[in-house]
Amino acid sequence: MKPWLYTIYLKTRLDWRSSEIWITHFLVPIIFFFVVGAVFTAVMPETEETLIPTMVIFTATMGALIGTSGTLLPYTETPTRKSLKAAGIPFSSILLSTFVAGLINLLIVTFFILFVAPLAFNAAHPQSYAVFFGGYFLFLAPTLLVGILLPLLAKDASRLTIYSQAVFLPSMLLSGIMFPFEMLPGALSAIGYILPATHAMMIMTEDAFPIVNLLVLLGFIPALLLLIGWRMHRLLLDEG
Amino acid sequence: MIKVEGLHKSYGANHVLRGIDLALEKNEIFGLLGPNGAGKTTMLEIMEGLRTREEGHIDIMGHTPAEAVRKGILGVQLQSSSLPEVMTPLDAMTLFCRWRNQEVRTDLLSRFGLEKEMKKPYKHLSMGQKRRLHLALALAHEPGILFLDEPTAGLDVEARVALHEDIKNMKKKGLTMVLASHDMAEVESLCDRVGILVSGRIKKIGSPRAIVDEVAGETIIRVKLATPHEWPVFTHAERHGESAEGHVEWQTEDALEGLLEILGHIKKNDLALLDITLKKQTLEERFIAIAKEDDAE
Repeated sequence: MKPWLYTIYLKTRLDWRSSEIWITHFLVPIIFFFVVGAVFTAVMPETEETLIPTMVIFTATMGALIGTSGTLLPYTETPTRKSLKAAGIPFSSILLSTFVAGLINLLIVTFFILFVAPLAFNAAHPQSYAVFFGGYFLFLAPTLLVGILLPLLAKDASRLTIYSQAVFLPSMLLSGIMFPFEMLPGALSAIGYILPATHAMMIMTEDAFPIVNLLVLLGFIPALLLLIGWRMHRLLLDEG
Repeated sequence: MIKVEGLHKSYGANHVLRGIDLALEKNEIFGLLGPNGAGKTTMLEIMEGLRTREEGHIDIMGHTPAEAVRKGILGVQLQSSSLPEVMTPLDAMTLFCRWRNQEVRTDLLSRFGLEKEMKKPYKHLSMGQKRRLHLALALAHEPGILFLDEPTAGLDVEARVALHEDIKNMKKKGLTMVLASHDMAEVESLCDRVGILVSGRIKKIGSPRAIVDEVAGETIIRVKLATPHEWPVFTHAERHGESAEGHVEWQTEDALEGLLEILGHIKKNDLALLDITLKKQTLEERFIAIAKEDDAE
């Protein structure tokens, strides 16, 4: 157990040394939160109702898909992966620590938004904190898993950027956090429906768990774990 | 200590290892030589448990390579090792030691001259410091067998000499080592035995001296004259080539007869001799000859 805990501790510390993490997990989400909060609530006062879930989903999506995935990439490169394997360090410990380190960082910013938004922008509190956090964790888990899967699929930083943006941009535009989901044309709303952010937005703005959205988010987790397991197996089976 | 039998490995249609048999003794330094693409790194990485094999058996002190890694029997310094840029040598050593359930070996970082760099991010270490760090990490759990793949590649002379001393000291402490290198002088000076890997097969195996002595009868006679000369065919020396500096070379199995024949010709024709030398084949020349034999086959 101790080596696993130390790996999580080390990965969290290493992430905090990375400027990329400060930018993607903290700086940009917080700056974006203040800008969007100030502009949207001034132009459309009704956005006060959805400001917290919107900003929390944005933070988690950006942090996981762009920040977390970027910090994992160096570990997936062959020389590092081999160095760890030769030392008897399981690669799964790196994946788990990446997940936990991302979770810690994104929770910090989420609590910041939850605390500051009502004070700064008169944002509405969640109707039910249980539903809000239930939906949040069910969304954060698959989003972080996507952030872990992408560097396992991408062979280099440029491909990772393309893959990350290919998931990040639709998550922003088609999930209902920028525009109401109902306003999207049929084909786009169909794409939006396969994104975790869409279901998270639907759950986090309700006072009870919508069962379909809940099941969809729950379904993402084993599917993504299977994909990660398959990629990890492929990577570790043979370096050739 | 290590026994490899009938090892085969292919990447698609490329049959990289074609039946490797090898046995290594305790406290031996075994050198693996081979031209680029001969399969050295593949062979080492299979023995290190980093790659799969198609056929063959590997026994490392009664264990498979993967078990030997788990049990800490093996220490591995890879040809291209790396760590995340923001990780310091101290972080890496702590991580590696925690996974072996042992005290953090900062003493090894000091021993390999990384005392001042312990808290420096990996990206700010020089090539030599990185190599020494990976060697320290490979030794942290005091393995019985150490694999070194091109350990001095990219190092300056000073760092190379220091690493050679480390390798000699590790041997004195009872370590068994497998060393892959392109540096013949390094292999010749450090290794007890050498295997020459060509096209996926070990073509020669033995001590560096024994491999060179296989052609002990062969001596190269090098002659340089003041003016160009049309040399005849000699009975006891076979024309071998010409060096860039203008030396004409003969290969002979009877150095005395060959030399007398060439000197006799020089005297008879009153040729102005500038230089004459005799030399035995080095391991490098022997290695090149063995690789060429394979090409010819």
